[in-house]
Amino acid sequence: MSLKYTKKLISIIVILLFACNHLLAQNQEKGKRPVLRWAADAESGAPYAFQDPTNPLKLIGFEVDIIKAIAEELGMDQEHVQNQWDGLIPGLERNDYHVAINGLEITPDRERVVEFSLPYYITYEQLVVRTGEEKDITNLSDLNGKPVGTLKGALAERILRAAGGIIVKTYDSEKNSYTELEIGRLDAVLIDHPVALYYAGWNPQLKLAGQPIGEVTYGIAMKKSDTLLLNKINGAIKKLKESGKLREILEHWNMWNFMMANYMKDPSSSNIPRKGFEDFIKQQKKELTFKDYFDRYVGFLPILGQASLVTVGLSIISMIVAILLGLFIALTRVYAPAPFSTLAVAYIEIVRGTPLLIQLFFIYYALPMLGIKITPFLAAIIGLGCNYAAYEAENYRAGIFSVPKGQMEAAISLGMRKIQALRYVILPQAIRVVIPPITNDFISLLKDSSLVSVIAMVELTKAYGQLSSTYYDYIGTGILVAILYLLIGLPFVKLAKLAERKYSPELKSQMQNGKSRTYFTGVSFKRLKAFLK
Amino acid sequence: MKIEKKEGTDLIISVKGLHKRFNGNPILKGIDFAVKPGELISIIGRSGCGKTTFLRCLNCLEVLDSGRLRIAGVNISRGMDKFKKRSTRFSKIPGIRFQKKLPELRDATLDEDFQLKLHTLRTRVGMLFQSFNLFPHLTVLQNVILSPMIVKKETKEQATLRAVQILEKVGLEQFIERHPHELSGGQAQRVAIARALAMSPQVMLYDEPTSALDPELVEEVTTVMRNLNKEGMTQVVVTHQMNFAESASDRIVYMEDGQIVEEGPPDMIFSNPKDERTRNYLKILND
Repeated sequence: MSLKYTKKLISIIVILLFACNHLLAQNQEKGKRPVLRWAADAESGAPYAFQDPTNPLKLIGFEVDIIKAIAEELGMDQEHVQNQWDGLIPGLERNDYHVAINGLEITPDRERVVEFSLPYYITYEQLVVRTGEEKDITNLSDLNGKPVGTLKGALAERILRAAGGIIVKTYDSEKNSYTELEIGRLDAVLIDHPVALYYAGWNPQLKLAGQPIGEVTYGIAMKKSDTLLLNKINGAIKKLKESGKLREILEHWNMWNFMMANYMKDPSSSNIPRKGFEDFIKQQKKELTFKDYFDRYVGFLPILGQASLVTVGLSIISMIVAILLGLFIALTRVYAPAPFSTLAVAYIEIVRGTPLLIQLFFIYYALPMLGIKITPFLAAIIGLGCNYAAYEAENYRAGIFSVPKGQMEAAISLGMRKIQALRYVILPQAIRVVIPPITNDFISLLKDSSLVSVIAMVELTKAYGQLSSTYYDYIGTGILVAILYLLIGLPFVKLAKLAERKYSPELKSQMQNGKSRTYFTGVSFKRLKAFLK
Repeated sequence: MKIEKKEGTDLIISVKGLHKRFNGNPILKGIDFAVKPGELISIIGRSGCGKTTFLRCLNCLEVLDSGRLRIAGVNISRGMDKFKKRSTRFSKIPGIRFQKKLPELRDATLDEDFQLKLHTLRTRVGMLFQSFNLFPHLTVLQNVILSPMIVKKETKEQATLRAVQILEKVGLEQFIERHPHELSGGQAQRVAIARALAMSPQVMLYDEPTSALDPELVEEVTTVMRNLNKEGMTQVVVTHQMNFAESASDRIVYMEDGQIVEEGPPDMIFSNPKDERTRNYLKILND
C-alpha cells in the first residue's frame, strides 16, 4: 500500500518541482547579447517600476525606460529580477543581479556598502495635505505637534525627525499613508515628489502643498568592486543626458523639474507629450463599471495563478520536508541516547524560538557569505521546511506519548525489535492523533509562505502587493487573494480528513459498513476464504 | 509433584536468587522457582506482593538486577556487584557523606549480545496482559500475523493460514476482519492469546488475564487456557481467580513481600497450607 502512495507522492513532487523551476527559469532564455540583470520591486509602484494597468504582465515605469535605454546604449539585453525593496542591496552581494534601480537615494550610509552611478534623477520631498488645508500648511513648522506620515527609512523620515515636534508615522507603502491622510488619521504626508504626483496629485481629496523640501538623488546601485560595470553605466547615463533621451523619458512620465533642469544645464521648455503620466492618471480617475472590475480581476488571474502555483509548490514541498525531518527529530528526541536527544531538543527550541523571517534572511543572505549559494526557491524550502520540522517534531512526540505504554510492551513481548514496534505499532497509532495538528500546521505554513517574498520570491501575497499598489485597489484584490488561499487550503483539509479516517478503524468501519472490506494485505475476505479451501 | 530437582534439561524455567528493585526499593527479594514443561502454574498473593513484577522479569520486560534466569533455553544472569559496590562508595569519615568519584558502571543491558538474548527469549515466551494490548489500528487477523511476518519473516500466506487455524482454536474464526474495538473483553483476550500463540512460544505468561473481564466472560478465556494445558503448553498465570487456580493449575505459588512463601499442588495449598502467611491470606479470601 505504502509503495503505491509513495510513487504517487513522488510524481506529484516531481511535477511541482518542474512547474516551479519552469516558472523561475522561463525568463532566462534570451538572445545571444550579454544580459544586464537589474532588480526592482514591482510593488514599489508608479512611476518607478510597476505593472501596466492595462496589461498586468508587463512592467513599466520611468526606471524601466531608463534601464532599457542604458542596456541599449551598452548593446546588452536586459532582464528584470524581482526582489523585495529592503532586499535590493543585499541581493547585489549575492550576485543575483548586476544592478539595482528602484528609487534608491544616494546616501553616505548606502555608499559605504554599494557603488552608486551618476544620478539619473534628482527631485525633492513634497508635502501633501487634505484639500482646503493647503493654505494653513505650507511648511514643516506648520505641522508642529501633528501626525505626519512618510515612507519607512526614506530621506523624508530623517527630515521630519530633524524638524522636531512632529509626530512621525512611517509606512511600508506610501499609498497607505495617503489613505490615512484622506480619512484624517494624518494631517500631512511628506514623500518624494514623483510619488505625490502619481498618488495624490489626481485625487480631489488631496492637495500638494508648500515649497520643495530637501533634495533627493537617485542612483543605480551595484557591487562595490565592480569598476568596469560602473564606468559602463556612467558612460551610458552621460550619453542619455547628452542625447536628450533621459529628458524625453522624464518628460514622458511628467517628472522633469527645475532640479533636473539645473543638473543637466537645460533650462529650455519642451513640448514632449507626457503620455506615461496621463495614461496612469486616466486609469486612476476612470469611473469603473462592474464589467471593468470583472475584466480587471480576470486580467489578474494569470499573475495570481502563477503566484498560487509557487505558493502551493513551496508549501507542499516544505511540508513534506517538515514532516519527514520532524519525524526524525521526534524519534531522536524520544528514543535516542543522551547526546543526540539533547541535540534534538536544542534544535526544536532554537528553531521554534526564533523568527522565521530571520531564519529565511540567514539562509538566503548569510549562507552565500560562507560560500553556499542557493536559489530563492531552495532557500525558501529549507527555511520553511526546517522551521516547521520543529513544530511537527513536537506533534509527533505528543502522538507517540498518546499511545499507551502497553502497546510497546506487547510488541516487544511478541519478539519485535524496538524499531519494528515503532514502525508497525506505535507510529500508525500516533499518526491519527497527529493528523489534525499537522493539517493545522500546513494551513498555517500555506500562509507563512508569504514571508518568502523577502527572499526574492513572488508568491501569492507578493503578487497581491504588486497588483494592489498598481491599481490602488486593496479591497477587491485582497478578497480575491484571500479566496485563493482558502481554495488552496480546502483540498488539503479534505485530504487530511480522509487520512484520519484511514488511520482510525473506528471511523473507517462506520464508513465501510456494508461494503466489502479488504485487509492491508489487499486481499478481500471472500478471496481469502476461497484461498483457504 | 516435587520440584526439588537439579537444573536440568527437563526444566523449562528455572530461577535462582532473583532480585529486583525499583528506585532502590526491593520488590523481589531472592526468588527461586522452577517449572517443568507442560505445567500450568498459578501465582497468587496480595496486591503489591511482587507477583506481576516477577512475571515481567520472566520475559525480561523488567530486567532482573541480580540472580539467574533460565527460560526456554535462554540464560540471563546478572551479579550483585552493582549494589554492593554502590554501598561501599561512601566516605568512611563519620558525619561526612560524599561519594567518591568512581567510574560509572556500564549498563550491560544495553550490550548488543544481551539485547539479542532478550530478543530470542521473547520469540520463545508469549506474554498476555490484563488490558489485552491488542493493536487497535489492525484487524484481528492483522494483529495475529504481524509478528510472524516481521519477526519470523513468514510470508503473508503462511502466516494467514496459521493465524486462521489458531483463531479457530480459540473460537474466533468469525471475527478475523473485525477491529479490536468491535470485540468484547473476552474475545479480545482470546485474540491476544492467539497472537502470542502465532509465534509458537514454548512458554506462555499471563498477567491477570481475566481481571479486566466481566464475570460471565471469564470462562471463555480460562477454557482456552485449560485446552492449551491439555496440549502440553507450559503456562504461568498471575491470577486472582481462585476457582481457576484451584481447578486448572498443576501447582500454586503463593507470594508475599517479594518472596515465594509456599508452593504446591492446589489441594495442598487450598486445604492444608503449611505457612502461617498463606493461611492468613486464604482466610481473608474466604471471609
